[in-house]
Amino acid sequence: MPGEEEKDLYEVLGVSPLATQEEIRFAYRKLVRRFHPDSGSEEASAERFQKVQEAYKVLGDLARRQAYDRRRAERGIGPTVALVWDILVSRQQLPAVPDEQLLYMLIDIRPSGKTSFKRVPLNLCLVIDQSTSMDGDRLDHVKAAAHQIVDGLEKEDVVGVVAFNDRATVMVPSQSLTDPLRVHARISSIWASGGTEILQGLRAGLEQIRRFHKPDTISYLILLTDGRTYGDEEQCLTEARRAGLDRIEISVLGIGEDWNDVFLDQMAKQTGGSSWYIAYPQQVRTVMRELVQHLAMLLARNVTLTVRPTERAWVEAAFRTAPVMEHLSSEGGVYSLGNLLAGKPMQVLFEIVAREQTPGFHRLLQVEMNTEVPTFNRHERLIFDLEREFVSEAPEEPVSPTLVNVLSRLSIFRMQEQVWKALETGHIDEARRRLETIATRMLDMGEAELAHVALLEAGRVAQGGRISSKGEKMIRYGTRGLGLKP
Amino acid sequence: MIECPSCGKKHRVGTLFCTECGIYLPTGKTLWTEPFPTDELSAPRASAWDTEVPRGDENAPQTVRVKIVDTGREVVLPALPELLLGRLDPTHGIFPHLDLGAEKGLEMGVSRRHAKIVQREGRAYIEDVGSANGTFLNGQRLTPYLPYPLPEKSEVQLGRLRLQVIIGNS
Repeated sequence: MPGEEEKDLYEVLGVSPLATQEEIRFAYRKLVRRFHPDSGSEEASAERFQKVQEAYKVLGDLARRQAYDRRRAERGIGPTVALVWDILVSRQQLPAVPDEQLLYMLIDIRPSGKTSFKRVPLNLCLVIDQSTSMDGDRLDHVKAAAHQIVDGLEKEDVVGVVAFNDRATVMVPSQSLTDPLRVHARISSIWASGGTEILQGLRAGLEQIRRFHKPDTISYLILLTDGRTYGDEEQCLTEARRAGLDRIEISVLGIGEDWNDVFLDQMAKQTGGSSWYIAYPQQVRTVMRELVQHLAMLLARNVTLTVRPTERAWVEAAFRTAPVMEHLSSEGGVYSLGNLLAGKPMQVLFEIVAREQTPGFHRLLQVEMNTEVPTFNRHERLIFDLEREFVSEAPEEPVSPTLVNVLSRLSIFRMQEQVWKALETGHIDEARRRLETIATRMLDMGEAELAHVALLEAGRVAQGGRISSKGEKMIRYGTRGLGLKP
Repeated sequence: MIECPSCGKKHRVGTLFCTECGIYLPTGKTLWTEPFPTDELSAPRASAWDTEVPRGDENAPQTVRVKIVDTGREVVLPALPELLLGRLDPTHGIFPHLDLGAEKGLEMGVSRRHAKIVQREGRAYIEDVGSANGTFLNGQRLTPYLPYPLPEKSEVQLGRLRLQVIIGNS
């Protein structure tokens, strides 16, 4: 009809154009209750009901909805956002009972595909352990990896190199990459001697990074080590915390079996970074390349999820489930997820406890995502209200395969966490039992190698009450990596 | 509260995996392994990490058409660099792209993780991933864990189940 603008389908359903499929489905069901001619409700209206049906026919189907969005975008309406999210909840309806119930919420944050990634200048510092134990293969491979990284950098990037043993030497003071040959020469001249004092290297590295640290650069420190540091752990953590506040990210590559993974992982996490286990020196290059490759392809900075509970529901536990598995803890309901880089999935799982005895629709909690998008130079926010219907007779519902897939991997990850806890508290038999269970599950999943390690370590625990440090690292980092595998 | 059938630990209603022993709690009820439609094989299950490679690149993976020789049923698998053929087992986290469970997979000797079709640089390969009853390509038994080039049209046998596999749209 000329002259008459068709009513926006999103308005018909009363949802935001950014709403997830889940929200749309939910809004539709609610409206059907209200307007269905047979509903007996005061608002029953065949005409309104018809409109709702038509809107849902388009928006409820992802392919049709995308086509509709494109038409809207051509008319100049419709938002351009950099990030979208998919939210999957384990149940649509819950029984209205006095008991507490568990609900899973899986959030996938991904690029909308409407924006390009912007290469951001890097401010990178490599902090390399040059203690005696690094001599030979290890240091050679680390140096080769460092050369490779320098080759991959652009002119506007800043790079610094620090080598440390009992004290730190600034091999390359942080500088723009105008003279790569000099940087290569300095890296080649690193040789091994002395002990390992991580604090020395960390401080020197951070000092170099801070000289070029600006709000719009990505500042990144990579620490490579194969040993333990003694007595300066607390100070290292303090330094890391400060770096985290300044938005300098630290990642740790631990080579071999003798480094303290628990401490270094904790240190990296203070800054939003993570740690990597390198069993063979040959792997250093692959891991380093992987780390740096995506680094400059930044889509969104400092992605956070804020959860606002209600008296009916709260978050019991939160995990990152991709790219790697890890526990997430919140500060006042805010979960920090770090930067979203090209080609890196970002997935979070919440375990929510809910309790409500009165049937009807109830709002359980609100999730808000916040991030900064450098391409648009603006802040983006998405909000999701988790609302569910409580009914006296809740039907059996099919569980999403995606959710089951994620949860089955997560359950192995959680079991290995309990192994360390059991070992720490001296519950040897429990640790052995759990390791054996892990081995079974791993085997079922086709992770034969990890299953074998878990079984070997179960035997070791049964005999001597201890786990080998190699086995521990393989299991710890192997299960974490389950988040990555198809 | 619900009780884990395996270890007896109590969980809140709605819990899906036992935190104690890792068992999938709703097992026993086929909650979400919906039966095969009668005229067509079920579509491959979405995995959270599957991403289709954009088309246009001549080396990009192609779709794979699989036809069950005995029943004549057919399914088109998405253009992914790796496709797992086997039988679905949610409890143990095995989610093959092609689930042959309802094609009498168990009786015909199809393993849960049976074989993989891999596409690399424009070429397709088939690899037996340690199946119990073996994978055969045009009558020849494959050595496990060794990728064999997969012609555009070929007959693949998983255990005793015969499939016709066609790479691409031809």
